[in-house]
Amino acid sequence: MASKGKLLLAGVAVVVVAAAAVVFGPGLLGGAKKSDGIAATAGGPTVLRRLTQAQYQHVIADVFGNDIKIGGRFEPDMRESGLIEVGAGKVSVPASGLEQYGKMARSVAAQVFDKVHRDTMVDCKPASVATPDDACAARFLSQVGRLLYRRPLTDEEQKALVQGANDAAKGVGNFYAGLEITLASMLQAPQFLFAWENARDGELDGYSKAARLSFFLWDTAPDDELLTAAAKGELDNEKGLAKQVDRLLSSPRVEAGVRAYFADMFGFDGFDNLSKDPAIYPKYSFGLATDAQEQTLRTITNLLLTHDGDYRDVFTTRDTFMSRSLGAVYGIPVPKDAPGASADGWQPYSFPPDDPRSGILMQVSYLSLHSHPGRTSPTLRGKALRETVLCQKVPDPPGNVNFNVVQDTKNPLYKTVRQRLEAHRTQPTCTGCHKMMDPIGLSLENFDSIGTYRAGENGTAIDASGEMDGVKFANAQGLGKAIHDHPATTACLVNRIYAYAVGRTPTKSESEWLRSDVMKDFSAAGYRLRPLLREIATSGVFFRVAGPANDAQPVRQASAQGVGQ
Amino acid sequence: MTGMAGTALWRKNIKAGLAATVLLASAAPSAMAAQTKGFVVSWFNVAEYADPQNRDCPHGVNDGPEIYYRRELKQAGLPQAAIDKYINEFLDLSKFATTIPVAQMRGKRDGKPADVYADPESMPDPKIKLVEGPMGYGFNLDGKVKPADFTDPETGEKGVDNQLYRVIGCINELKTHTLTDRPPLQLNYWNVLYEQMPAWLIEISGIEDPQNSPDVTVTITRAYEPPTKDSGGNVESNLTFTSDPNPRWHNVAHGRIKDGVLTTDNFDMNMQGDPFWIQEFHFKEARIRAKIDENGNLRGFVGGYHPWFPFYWQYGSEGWGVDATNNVDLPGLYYALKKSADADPDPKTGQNRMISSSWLVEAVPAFVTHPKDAQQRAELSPTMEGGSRGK
Amino acid sequence: MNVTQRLASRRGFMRGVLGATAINVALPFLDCFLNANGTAFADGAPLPTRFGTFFWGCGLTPGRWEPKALGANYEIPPQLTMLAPYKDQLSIFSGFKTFLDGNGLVPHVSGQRGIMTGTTGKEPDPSLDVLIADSIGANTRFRSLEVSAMGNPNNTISRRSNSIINASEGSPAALYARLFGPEFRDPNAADFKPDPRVMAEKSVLSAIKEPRDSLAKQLGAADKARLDEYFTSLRQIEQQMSIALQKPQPMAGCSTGTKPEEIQTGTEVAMAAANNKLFAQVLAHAIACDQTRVINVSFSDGASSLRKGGEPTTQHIHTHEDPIDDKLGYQPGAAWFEEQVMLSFATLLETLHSVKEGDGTLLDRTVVMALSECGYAKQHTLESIPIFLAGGKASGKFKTGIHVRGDGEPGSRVGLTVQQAMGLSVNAWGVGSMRTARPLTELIA
Repeated sequence: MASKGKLLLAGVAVVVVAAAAVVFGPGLLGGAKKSDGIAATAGGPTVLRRLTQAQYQHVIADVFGNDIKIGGRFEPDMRESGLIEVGAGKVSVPASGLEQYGKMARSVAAQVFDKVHRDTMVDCKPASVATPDDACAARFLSQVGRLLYRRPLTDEEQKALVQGANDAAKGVGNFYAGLEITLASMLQAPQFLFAWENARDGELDGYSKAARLSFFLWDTAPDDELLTAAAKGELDNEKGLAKQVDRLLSSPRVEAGVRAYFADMFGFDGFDNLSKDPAIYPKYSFGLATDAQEQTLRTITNLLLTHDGDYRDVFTTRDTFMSRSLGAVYGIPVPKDAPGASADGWQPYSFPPDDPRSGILMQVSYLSLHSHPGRTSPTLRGKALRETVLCQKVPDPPGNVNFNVVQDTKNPLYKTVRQRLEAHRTQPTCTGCHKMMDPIGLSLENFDSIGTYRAGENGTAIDASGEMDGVKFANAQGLGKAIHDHPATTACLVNRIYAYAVGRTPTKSESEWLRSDVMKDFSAAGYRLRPLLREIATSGVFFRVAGPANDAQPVRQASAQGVGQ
Repeated sequence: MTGMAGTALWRKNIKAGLAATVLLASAAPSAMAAQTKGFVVSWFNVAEYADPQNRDCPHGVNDGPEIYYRRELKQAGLPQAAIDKYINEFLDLSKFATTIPVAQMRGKRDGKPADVYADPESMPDPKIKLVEGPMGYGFNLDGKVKPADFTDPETGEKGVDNQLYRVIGCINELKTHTLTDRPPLQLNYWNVLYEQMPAWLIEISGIEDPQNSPDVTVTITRAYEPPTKDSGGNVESNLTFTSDPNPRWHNVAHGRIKDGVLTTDNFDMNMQGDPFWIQEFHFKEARIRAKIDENGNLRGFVGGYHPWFPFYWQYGSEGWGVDATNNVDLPGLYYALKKSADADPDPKTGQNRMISSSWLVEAVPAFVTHPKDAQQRAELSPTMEGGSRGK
Repeated sequence: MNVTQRLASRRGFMRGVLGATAINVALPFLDCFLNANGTAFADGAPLPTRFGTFFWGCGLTPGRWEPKALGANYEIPPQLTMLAPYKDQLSIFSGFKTFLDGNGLVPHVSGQRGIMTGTTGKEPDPSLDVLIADSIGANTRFRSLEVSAMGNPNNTISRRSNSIINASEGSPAALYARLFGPEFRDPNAADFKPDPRVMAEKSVLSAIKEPRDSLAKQLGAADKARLDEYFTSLRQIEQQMSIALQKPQPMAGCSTGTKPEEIQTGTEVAMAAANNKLFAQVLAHAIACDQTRVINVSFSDGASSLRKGGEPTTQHIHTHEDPIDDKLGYQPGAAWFEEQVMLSFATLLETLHSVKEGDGTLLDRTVVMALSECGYAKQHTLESIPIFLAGGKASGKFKTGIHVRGDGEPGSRVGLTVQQAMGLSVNAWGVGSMRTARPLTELIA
């Protein structure tokens, strides 16, 4: 049990820090520690991040169990600088959204206090069910509050909640109903809906560190052990931090974190708005789209976590996983009794050496997400590759563009997409940008709008040759190799995964650090993911805070009963 | 056919299957590695020809229930007033339920009303109209060209035996109305079963050249999985199916592909259907003619002799629902089948027990896999729930 | 063992969960739907929005009910001419289908079930009228009212589960007695007692504002602005709750009408039409007096046993057996029935339109979803099942009077859109291929 004194000490020196949008001068609050061995890197501002839909769901499942249903409409996540996790630091909650959060909150609270769950959730009994019981209410609210707010409740918060539970129990005539109503209000509170980051002495406080670590590596709120470590100040020293980071990284739950990152990076939320013309692509359905995303995420976690592989191989690997409906698109059998087949129908699969496919860019997820409903788009595929894999920005097209030639798939003069795009590119305003995108995407032309292999189009053989940044290749395999070897591929991952972890684009000094120290170590580690995650998470930079100071006021924290037991 | 014969056939095929697998796995050591093509059946029903010149039913299609009930109740000896009352109630759909027993019991056995669906011969033959046209799909099963035989409209083959088409081809709900139409009642049955009946699988192995292969093997089995419809509403192609190794439903035919047309030698074909349809199919002297189109889909015909009673019973067991609402005068269908049956005479009575037939089969490409051993088979076998089905 | 340890021990690995939930949604459209300003009287009291369904069997004739043009100002198609007076409040959805996903086809049921429940599985989820009633009808006397124009209690498409099926009332007179018998309390005269639970919820919710200042102090300017937005939203929610605690707005359109006479029910189209008309009147009174906010009208059964007076052949049989007229290109016998059905649908709309409420009519605040169960009844196809949304003009929640084509997409997209329009908290709905997270953005108001 942490002493009250220690907790107070930990909470006293809360420094107010700048928001993401505020421009700050480098080195204002340098706070670089010699101990981490990194040249003075200023860090960046804290960010108030709204929980993403997935994080909300994970937290509810973690705190109250997987069987609690969350049947609600979430506020739309926003993508910013290539990531939803960065957009989460820019959005608020409009009234319509709060109304929805309220409905979800009441539904979750009703389940927590239903007959099945109530007694496993509340470990004290009220003196009478019909009347308030402040002691039992305080016990429950402080325990749950610590998990939901990711820190112990303040005295002020706890007092208000216990009073609320008391009033509600009186009003409705039932102790548990009072708790239920109070829990529902906590689930709508800004302390829960947003991940808060508080700073002191140029770095995050312990609980903020715990939250940043946990959302980064597990895509959920800190667990009891991590909160306890934060309370004891263990995250403030190298040894204690390393112990917790290693615990998080060695847990199977890191897979959830890695999946969340790559789903964000590859824009899989786009599948919810994707449709295909069923007359042309009858195999496309929501079920197929779900399997396609799953296939890519399994490919990635298998390579990077199970086999501790080289990130660059994500673009060349022939090892993947297959489901029955994917088999129908890839044109391969998926026997139920294949080696490694699981009961849910998934099985490991390796494309043979002479197969035109390798790497995740030749999987259904990427190919279908970056195509039109009825035809492919080398431009969209090339653009997505530049933006999501290489972190390069392609300018938006100018207005008043005539797309007639590109869209007419039955034009007798231009039988293939390549011919149509070439005709389109003769327009001088288009040439510059299309040169960045089309030669990349054209090498994927052997795969149609949902990723089925095709040798030709309108009776004409497809020329899948392409070029990227001076590297020429004959087909999609060559593209995969070119991405594997492209220096921006690994640099992009490093930069973006850091942005994901801190919820904002890296500052200038952070970028420098990522480009030099982190890239060097990533390369030396064979571009393996776990060492990269560990380096970021254990670096002092990760928690360092810089930005214009505000009138900092300490937030007093209560001695919650649940802490440190 | 004896169980022994079936088992022997099955064993032989396992070896053939293994050999083929090994050959494929060893990645084409010989220049002419034979190919195997797999399919899942998307349509299987009696092949019916809708004659564009209207020669099939020159006297029109058969009557509807109001007319045949009136006629047959009179034959059964009901007084005119009772018949009128019955017809009026039958036409009033708020009261029709009360009329079911009258229609059902319009037979007579030992002087008492008898159930004409279970016992069609308790009523005299209503002599429904049969197909009279010269054209019909199928095969010359008996090798003879008889005056009443059909000529196949696609191949021009004469002496085509397809008495099953003759029986049903002038019943409004059981006939096709255009060359591309499906017969309505069969289509309804099929649509109901479509995605819940274990699929039928066809494998053609030994294909050296898709246009000409002198020696191919056609294997027809059942799958563990039902077929699935895609977003376009058709049976989804290229899905993987697990072939049920049960020897009872394992059929092998030897054949050839000549100028793109697959034909087989005669074989006996046994397939499990569905309690809702025909429970089991048992074809004698079956043969296949089929083509694979440019999209890889198979369309063709299965000809052969089939017991006629199960064909009746798929409708007879439904009774009044078919007889009163689908224009199928069930005792009429029964007598027509019995009279038109043309094979397998009962040694005691001389009554033929089988009827010549031809069935249209359509199939889309599929991957057919075979479970390796008995334990896996047991694990993979889905639990086949009965479930309630409406028609 | 305390709750923390207990809760920690409940945790499982997240692998499976993530697979299902890692998908995020962008639904800018919903903000328009849920704009609280669009749903209230000028004085701030919310005006109820209602929902209804109108179901009939055996579809419509393909090619005769789908407008040629998409969007607004479509030309009224030949089979819908009787609906022309409501064209500006009639949205038509063509090309939406039900996927079976390996569940067998139950003819004349599966198509409707897929659209109403988002699944054709053996254990269907609640139909969307039930979901909507749970949300908007929880505080009315009748959560929903179901009627069958053919007088058959089994004709209903409303169900909570396989075992809880909302049976239809068959007699307008009996329905009237249920509604306006001795238990009826005139909403305009009733005493008002605020719901203690809502009072408690409001008071506790207000408590979360308490640490506002100390929270805000920790933030930079941009984040502080975002927190301010949150608290502005919270104030609006509190206001909504305050309204719920006040005596409700008088129901301006409420009158009980007169009890309809008992009439003969049956399978004749004329009987069903007459019954439908009486039901429409009783239901309109029920809605106007806020006795219910959800109604379900089953005009016919799925395999429609409607028939012309004096003739034996049902609509169902007509669809299967009528030859296609060479000149017309469709089955005229079947089409006749379909037009009778649409006439009765028009009657329902006309009746709702005849009751004034505020500055509009009941129809303006009632969204009626009409649907059948198949596309082409002759072949039981599940492609392009007719779906309409009528009314709701004044609900301010979505565009009315447009034609949307689904091109083979799941019909659950209409259901998802309707649920969101009715304010339900749902961002994805349906099972398997019927699952969708994409409401019809064409309807954005």
